[in-house]
Amino acid sequence: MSKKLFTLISRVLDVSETELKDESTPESIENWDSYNGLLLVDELESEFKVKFSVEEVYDVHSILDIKRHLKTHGVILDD
Amino acid sequence: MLENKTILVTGANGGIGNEIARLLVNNNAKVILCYHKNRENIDSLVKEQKEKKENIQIQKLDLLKEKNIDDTLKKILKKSSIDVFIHLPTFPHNHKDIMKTDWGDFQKNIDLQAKSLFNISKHIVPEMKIKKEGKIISVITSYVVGKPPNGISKYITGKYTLLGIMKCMAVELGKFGINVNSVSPSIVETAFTKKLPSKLKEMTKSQIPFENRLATPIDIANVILFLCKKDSDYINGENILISGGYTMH
Repeated sequence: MSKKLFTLISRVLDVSETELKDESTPESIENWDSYNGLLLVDELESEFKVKFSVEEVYDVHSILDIKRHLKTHGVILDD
Repeated sequence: MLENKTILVTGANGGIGNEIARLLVNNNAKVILCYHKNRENIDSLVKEQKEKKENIQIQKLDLLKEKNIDDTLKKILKKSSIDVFIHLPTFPHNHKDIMKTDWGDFQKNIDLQAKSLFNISKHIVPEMKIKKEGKIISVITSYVVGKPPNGISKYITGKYTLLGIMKCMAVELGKFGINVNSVSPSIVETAFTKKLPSKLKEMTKSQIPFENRLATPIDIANVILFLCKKDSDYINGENILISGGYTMH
């Protein structure tokens, strides 16, 4: 499931999967601006069949945060 | 009502432009609806307004080509002077980091938004001066007030240029009885904004004081209709925000 998440982020943010890690942030990934961040939220909601609240969206500052919120919504990641 | 008024609309095939056209026709104005590549919404409007179709003229116009503007306006003005000019062309949405944007992208937006308004105005203003009345209305964006969003610098720059020329024209043409104004909507539910992330629209809605909803084309068209009428004569050089309170001066 983590692999699926990283593949999705890589596609939406147009960044190599090998550059992504849990600690990756909007500051470390050039294309991760507020607009692409919201595109990412759309894709995450669609792919994992979840619905994030506005508060959760504002609370995302890294890939680890995305994983944390996915887990809150019952998405089981394999790591 | 707007009987005996001839109104030129650029960008008339777009969501807002088409709604304005509909309102104007319903108010008995004669309209010249300009499009560039697509005209399916204009054609639908003509079908819908069968009884008034003689009041609708459709005109292909490339706003980026000065000669095309000159030739087209000369042709239009041979038949009728223009009482009101409504300007709302726009390029499709394209998100791009500012440092990946070429100056050519900025220039194209400036040309489309501001230069074309200026070039068309040079044709229609002389007759407005003689009549001592006329109205020029443009559609800008609420993003010209306060902090703009990232990724659309070329669009914002084009709109700021339009805002500048609108105010300068209002100052210099007011003495001839010509009003120059603009309206600045926040996100409007149209095909233009359909591709925006749904989360962006959801988050924007949650911050809009009025009914937590995005604007619809009719919200914008109604304000433009007011600016077309004599009732708004003393409004000049104004950029009216239409954002449900999302943006405030």
